[in-house]
Amino acid sequence: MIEFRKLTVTACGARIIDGLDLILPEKGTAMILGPSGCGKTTLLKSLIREDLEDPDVHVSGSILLRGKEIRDRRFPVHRLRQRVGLVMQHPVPFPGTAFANVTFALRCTTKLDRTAIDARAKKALEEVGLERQHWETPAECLSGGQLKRLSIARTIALEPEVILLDEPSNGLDPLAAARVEQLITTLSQNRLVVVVTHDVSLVQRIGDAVYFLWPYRTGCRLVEEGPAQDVLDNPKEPETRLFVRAAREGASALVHGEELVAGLTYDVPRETCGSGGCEPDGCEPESSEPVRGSTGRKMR
Amino acid sequence: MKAASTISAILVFLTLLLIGADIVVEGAAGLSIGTLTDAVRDGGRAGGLGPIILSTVIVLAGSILFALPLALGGAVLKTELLRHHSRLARGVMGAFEVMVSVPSVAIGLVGWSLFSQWLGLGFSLLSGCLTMTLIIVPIMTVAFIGGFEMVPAGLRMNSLALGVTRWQTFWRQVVPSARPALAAGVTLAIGRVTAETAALMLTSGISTRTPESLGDPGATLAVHVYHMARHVPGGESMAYTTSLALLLICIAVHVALARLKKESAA
Repeated sequence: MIEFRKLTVTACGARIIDGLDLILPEKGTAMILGPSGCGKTTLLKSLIREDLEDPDVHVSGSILLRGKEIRDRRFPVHRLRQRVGLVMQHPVPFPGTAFANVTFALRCTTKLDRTAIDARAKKALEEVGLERQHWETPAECLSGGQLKRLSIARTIALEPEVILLDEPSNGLDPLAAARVEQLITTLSQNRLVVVVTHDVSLVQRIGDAVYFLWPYRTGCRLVEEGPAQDVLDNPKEPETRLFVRAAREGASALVHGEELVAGLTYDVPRETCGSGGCEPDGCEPESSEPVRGSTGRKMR
Repeated sequence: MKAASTISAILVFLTLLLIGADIVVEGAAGLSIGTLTDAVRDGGRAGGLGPIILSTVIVLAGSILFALPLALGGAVLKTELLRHHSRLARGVMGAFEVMVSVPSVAIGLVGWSLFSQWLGLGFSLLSGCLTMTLIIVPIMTVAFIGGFEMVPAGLRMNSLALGVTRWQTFWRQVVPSARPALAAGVTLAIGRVTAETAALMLTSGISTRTPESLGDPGATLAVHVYHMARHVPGGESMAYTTSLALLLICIAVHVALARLKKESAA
């Protein structure tokens, strides 16, 4: 369905992703797992060609969607984004009501009449479980969980072939997170849903396949992949073992992976952002998280 | 600290009150509905302000109409087309900021030389409109750029990520979000045009006759105030009346734009 070939992404001079090779399946929930700042979001954004909006980001290699190169000039970017819908980690409400937020992209990108647009918006809002009394509420007045669901509704109303979700349950209370997880499971039954997360328990609950990434000195690379349950129960690589153990055991896990932990630095990978010209929004938000490995271990 | 702030606020308020009271007390006697429509008589000492108000409206409407697309274009160039921190973008922004601070009399001289002399427009409302356009384009552009840049980058990206094109995103998300700043830019420009004297005296002249076309000369209210106060013996009373009319027009425009801003924010 989606194939990355030797994908390399640099931003503000720093290499974020280093020659990544990855094939994502036709449908199901593909979980991109890894420590914060390892380039998971960058990988997701490269799929909708966000580099076109940020001149400081450079992408090389190839990304194929159903065998077609999306970086080809003949592949219109707005068409790509209608086929591959991204729900951002920090959704921003558009001015207007929640309902208008969902109809906005439909009005701009389709030739549907008003009745059909309203029907699609209604269906999407019902699917995400946003209560009817909030449909006419100004979107900026919605809570974090409601806004997240609204942002998913904006995307699924367009009926994309692939849905990309960046940290979907981040900052949500357990009930709201459970609703989002239930929605992801439903959506992934007939299409590919790619979820970026650093939450191992989320992968365990909803993941079909998992792709574990790690931030090396030369950029992020794929460490391990496979069925979610297999990878989490029997991680083969030390980085995966350390990460899964840290998620389950907390601080005691660090004793077993001192070399790897020492390899992580707390530098901001795109520290030139701001002074060098990156949009603040283009920077990884968790600036205090480990982002760069120094072990330089040779991985497959 | 609090006492000092209170005293400053009272002083500012009293100053405003003094100016307002002086203009109202001196000018109210000569102000009536007839004053706003009647023609000027006796070199401005008698009659009304009809032609002057008409000239003011023409210069104001003309210069805003000419400046709006130019300012919008400049702001779009800076915020949407140029790379944000590129030398060209910084150069464009720097140029606009310098233009804002250039004294209007200097731009008036350029306008007189360029439009009145070189283009042969002479003393005319059109020459005044074009000169005022030169003055207000940088003011409006800087305000518009500020407005567009205040729109969160996330809003643009959330829209683009849905397959909406850059221009649709700009017109349907960025412009509505920046509406208060756009209204503020237009308000500033209106204030500048209505208050301008030097540049307009050099280009649209001080004629008090009713203009019949853009090619005719005509004095705006501010020019008329200056002319009556300095060059017409016995014209002080009409200068005050004109000032009061100018003040009322400015308040009306300000209230209308504030209401528009409030409605668009709602």
